Amino acid sequence: MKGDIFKAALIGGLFTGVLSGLPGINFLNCLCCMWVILGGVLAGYLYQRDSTVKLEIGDGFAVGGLSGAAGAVIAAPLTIAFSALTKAWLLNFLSYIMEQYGGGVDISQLEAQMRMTSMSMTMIRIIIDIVIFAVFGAIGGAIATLIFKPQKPSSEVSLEAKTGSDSQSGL
Amino acid sequence: MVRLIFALVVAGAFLWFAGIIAAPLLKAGGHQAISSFLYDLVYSNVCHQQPDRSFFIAGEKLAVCSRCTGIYLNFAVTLLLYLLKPARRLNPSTFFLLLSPIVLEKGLELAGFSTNNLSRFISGLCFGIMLGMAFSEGLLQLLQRRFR
Repeated sequence: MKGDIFKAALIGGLFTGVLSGLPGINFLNCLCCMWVILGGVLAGYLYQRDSTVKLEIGDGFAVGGLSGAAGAVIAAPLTIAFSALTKAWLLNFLSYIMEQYGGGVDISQLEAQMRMTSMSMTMIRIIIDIVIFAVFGAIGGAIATLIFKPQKPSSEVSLEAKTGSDSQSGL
Repeated sequence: MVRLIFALVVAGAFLWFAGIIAAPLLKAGGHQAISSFLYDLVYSNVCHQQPDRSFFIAGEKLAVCSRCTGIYLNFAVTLLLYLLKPARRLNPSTFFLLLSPIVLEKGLELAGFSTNNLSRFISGLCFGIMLGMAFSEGLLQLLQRRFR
């Protein structure tokens, strides 16, 4: 019997999303989407752990892909929040520079322009992230099925079920 | 149907790799907006893009570093090979064999040994094969189940 694919994908996605959304830590994604692949491996591992049969590579691919897509969705609000903080800091810094040295730039106009540009850019980025994360997550999930084996072999489980039913019938 | 979908995915992988080469060519040709889109919005998500670790074309760095260039090149090529001749080839020993160059190289880097763009490109090529194999075999099996 196979485990819960959505539970495994969600936990893997949470791992991917949080680590990919936090500034500084997310830099490891530059190493071939490290957090995304590891999130896929984690999802594959959990799916395999909860299954009594050896999963095939297609199962790992599916759970990993789901975890990657979930990770991109979870990472998005974190990325938006942190980029808003950075933007606020940047605008304050620019206002300070303008006050000190003068200049022909209207800060409120710049702020409106930045808001519009960054919103559309963020949306495009989220869509790109969902595709990229799903691909790398799927690879991670597929790799997990190569590395991990079911903790309880199906023969052991069927034996347990058999003895359980025997003892029940004896009652 | 399986082959058609997989062929589209292979085309996507080659398009992704073409983007890596196109970004510097577009920048050199004066198409700032589209090259900036590729550099800053698409490929910055997956690579640090450091100039000293990148190959250059037409005086501009590629959209990803030398290691990632190797990875994406062989990822696309491996997918193409699976399209031409699908089979189950990936097993744990192949996986670790193809993973070892990148791990070894990263280990040497951390130990203070110097690596260059060529060595990074080669280790990326090996890693790209492994990623391509895992992706192809997983996707093909999933598609075959869906369209059986």
